[in-house]
Amino acid sequence: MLCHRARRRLNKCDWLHSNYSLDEELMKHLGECPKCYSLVQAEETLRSDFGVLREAKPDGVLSLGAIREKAEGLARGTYRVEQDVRSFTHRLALALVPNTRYKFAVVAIAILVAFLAIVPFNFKEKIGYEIAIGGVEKSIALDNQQITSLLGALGMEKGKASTLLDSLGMSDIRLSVGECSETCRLTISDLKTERDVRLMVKAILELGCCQIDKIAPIFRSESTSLLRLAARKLLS
Amino acid sequence: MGENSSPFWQLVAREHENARAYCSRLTGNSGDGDDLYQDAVIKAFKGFDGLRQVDSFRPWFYRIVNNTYKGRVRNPWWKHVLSRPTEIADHDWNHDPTNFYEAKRRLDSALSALSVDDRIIVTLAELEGWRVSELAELTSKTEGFIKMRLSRSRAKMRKRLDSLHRRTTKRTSDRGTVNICCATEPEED
Repeated sequence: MLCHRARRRLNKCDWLHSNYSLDEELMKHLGECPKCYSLVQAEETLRSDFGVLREAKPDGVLSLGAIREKAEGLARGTYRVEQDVRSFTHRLALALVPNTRYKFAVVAIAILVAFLAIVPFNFKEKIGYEIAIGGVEKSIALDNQQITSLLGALGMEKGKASTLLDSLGMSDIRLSVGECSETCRLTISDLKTERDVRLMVKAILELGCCQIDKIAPIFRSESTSLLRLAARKLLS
Repeated sequence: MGENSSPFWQLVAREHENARAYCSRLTGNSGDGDDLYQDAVIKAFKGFDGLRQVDSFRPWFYRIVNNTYKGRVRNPWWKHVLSRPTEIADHDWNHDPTNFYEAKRRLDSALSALSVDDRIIVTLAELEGWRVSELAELTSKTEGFIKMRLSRSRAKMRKRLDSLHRRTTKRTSDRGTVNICCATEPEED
């Protein structure tokens, strides 16, 4: 007989407390299998131990009258509440989370918030766009470091240039001069949105003096927590 | 609360001895048991007005006892890690000390294999003599569920006792081997 079958039969006969003597196969297995026999012995021990403890009574007498006096005193507010020996944090935790079922959830949320608030993440933030303009004459490029003067030098009317800057929301845009041979390459890098880029490109192309070499977004590398990042996004 | 206090104390008086003994068995000693019992009675007194059917006082009262006990044993996880098994106080029970001590030590080990809820069910069934139907009413579960919990708890306790017995036997046999070695080892002069 296999052990699991023997244990099923032992369960049926209440672990040798009813009708087991008829089951010769079971008795034979118990004689041969020390593991099953040991479990039968454990069951016997449990029964006898429960029997011993069942008989025992607590020592001394506990007066129900004293408990009643205390309970009714507490209800009337006349009985002094015993000093709570639990720590302040323990009492605070109990007050905040009275049901222990939710404690794990609260701890998990606290860990998550701490993770989001403390752990820094590296990420790239798009802060604007830059436009590289090629084919600008060297003398014009070097003499005009501001966009208004550059556009004027390239032939744009002064009023039109100031209207363009007004629509971009800027008073002026700084230019950086790149490689220069006969012509120079200029970079405009203060443009914040795609709309700004579109306006600027349109204005430059209308002048017909130079070409657009490159339009690229500008990224800034930053290390900050996700919570701070989210707060910044929300506030902005 | 006040005007209903008399029937409450009459009902508690009926359960007083048994419930007190139950508390002592749950906690493992009379002192802690009496504390638990007192707390539970005070809680029950406060909530007695909420009891709609006085007939179901017994399961209601024991439910309060059990919840109070669970509140006490449910410590933060670090306390479980740091706590050591308490010494068994064998001097505060009326019994044959040697027999009782052994039985209690074994049962404490066996019961420690169970969850708090299972320990409560087993204690009520085995030591307090509660029927399955009463336990089902107490826990608001089906009788089948209670039988299944009792059977599984019993199997866990058997396994725990068995492994404890094996460990003790192995330790004794190891000690025996050492003794034999020591006895046969020639003495050096």
